[in-house]
Amino acid sequence: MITGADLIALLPFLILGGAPVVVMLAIAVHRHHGLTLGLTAGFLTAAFLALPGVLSRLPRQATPLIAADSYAFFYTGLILLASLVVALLSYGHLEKRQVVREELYILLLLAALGAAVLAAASHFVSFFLGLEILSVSLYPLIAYERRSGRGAEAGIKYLILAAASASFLIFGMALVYSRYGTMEFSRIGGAFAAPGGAGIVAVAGLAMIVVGIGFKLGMAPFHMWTPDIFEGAPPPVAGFIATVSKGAMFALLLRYFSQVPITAPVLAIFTVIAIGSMFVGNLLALFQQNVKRILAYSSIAHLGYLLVAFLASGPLRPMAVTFYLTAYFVTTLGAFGVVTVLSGRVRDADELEDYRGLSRRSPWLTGVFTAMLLSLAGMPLTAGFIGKFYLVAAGAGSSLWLLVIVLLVNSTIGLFYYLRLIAVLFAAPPEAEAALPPAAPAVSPLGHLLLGVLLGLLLWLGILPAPLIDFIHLMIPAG
Amino acid sequence: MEQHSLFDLLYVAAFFLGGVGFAVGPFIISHLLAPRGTRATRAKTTQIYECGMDPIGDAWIRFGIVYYLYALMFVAFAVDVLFLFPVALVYNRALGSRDLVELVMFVGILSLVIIYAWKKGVFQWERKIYNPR
Repeated sequence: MITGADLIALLPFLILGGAPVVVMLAIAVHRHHGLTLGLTAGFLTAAFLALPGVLSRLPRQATPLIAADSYAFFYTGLILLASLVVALLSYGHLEKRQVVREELYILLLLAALGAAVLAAASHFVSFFLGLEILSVSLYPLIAYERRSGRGAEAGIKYLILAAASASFLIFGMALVYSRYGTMEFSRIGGAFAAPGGAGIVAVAGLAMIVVGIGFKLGMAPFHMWTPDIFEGAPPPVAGFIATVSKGAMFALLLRYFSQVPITAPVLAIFTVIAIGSMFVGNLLALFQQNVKRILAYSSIAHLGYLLVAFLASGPLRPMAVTFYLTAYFVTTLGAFGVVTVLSGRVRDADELEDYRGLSRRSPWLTGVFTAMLLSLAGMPLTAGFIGKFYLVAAGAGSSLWLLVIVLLVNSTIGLFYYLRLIAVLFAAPPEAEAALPPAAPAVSPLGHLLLGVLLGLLLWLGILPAPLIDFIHLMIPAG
Repeated sequence: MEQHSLFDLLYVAAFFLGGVGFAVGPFIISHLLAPRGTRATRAKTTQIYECGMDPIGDAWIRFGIVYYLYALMFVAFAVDVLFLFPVALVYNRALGSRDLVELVMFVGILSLVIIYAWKKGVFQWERKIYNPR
């Protein structure tokens, strides 16, 4: 039974839950793009500001479904800020396009709500509910520009594949439930750890749950959808999938497996997935001509890197995962931000050729993009470097030598295509200047400001990571 | 216990066979019973709609489906009403007013969707061409 105190602790979630309703009504009464964006940004900010407001009441188990603790709140904060960035990026993008504009923000708020529920879920029911709120709002978001063939195709693909993977997930949940008679993570963990607790049914259920999670995270061998969907979705939405959707799912994965012990078969499964994701992502990215596809494959590889820290045991594990995810959020949003502001009225700037000689046309955007790519590659002075350092430290601390070596090898492979992209940025513009897409479309001041903030964060995390590290220690006690 | 679950499986199998029979049966029955006495009836049995009338034109034409959003709304609400059945089962067990408040919240938020759809013009069945804005 939910109590008043629970409701207060859940205030950020309630604000986020009420937001789509209010925004929907506002659209019905007065359809105005700026107003809709303002409301959306206002609600996201209000929910974010409510987080520290109720921090003193934590941790609180609000019904068995939602664990309102500082871990969930940290990730919810990350999700809210990323959604805010995506909403602001979408504004500039939609202004350029001939589409219905306002409804995107309703879907975005709903998706953020689903992601926040995932980050706080401590029960299969809330897990599934959060996942479905997120997925169902992502289908129309991906196919938002449905008049472009790619968009509709990507939406249908995601719909079918996500439905199939959700059925795996729910079947796995049913198997686990049939074995233990409970759907709470903590009690499943207790039953699983008990002597003789892990039967074949429970392990089979766990494996099917891993399939469902692996799909959502786009990890090999469940990664096939990622490039097509990133290519078809509008660039801000692609950034949203890469960060919020995957990050929330990873937060859930970490919570689930901090309560359910990682036994030998699970360790083996995740090791294979991690190695597969790293190699598949990096090797296939080498052959891509499309920037969005390169970023998609790079995101597959980055989830593989994250698994290294996830499989590590010891105090560094939550720290490494959280720091890396934060750095990955900043970097990926920055990269997709550049793609967004460069996209024109008709098509997205996603071909490699669109970027040839960008350094002449726009040194500032080139600088931002270069910094983001270097961070993805894990170069020093960027957030990506500190993140990767933590991953290696966590992996080495638990003697996961195979994974650490694969990670290092893959970082080298990854360097190739990031540098190739950077080389294209600085290459001489093609001969036929007339054949070029018209000089970079005018970027709104809002876009410049956002990219500036993201670049600042990237460098700040790379040069002075201590404040964030202390903050993560405060919010997520090592366990 | 074993016996019991075996019976359950038998039930499932029986229902499965029944379901398949229900789907396949009409085809077989109509194949057996369809009159093919005269040339006219024989020609008609090969038509797509075997109803005795000569079809006019092709089914592959474009027709106005202005009502499909309306139908979609109906389906959405029909599904949501399903959630009220479990509520009816536990209604008034404890703290009656609380149940009422929760119901009002659920139905109330759903009803707001009608305002949105109404303003969007879903309920106007005119021939219209949606413009992108």
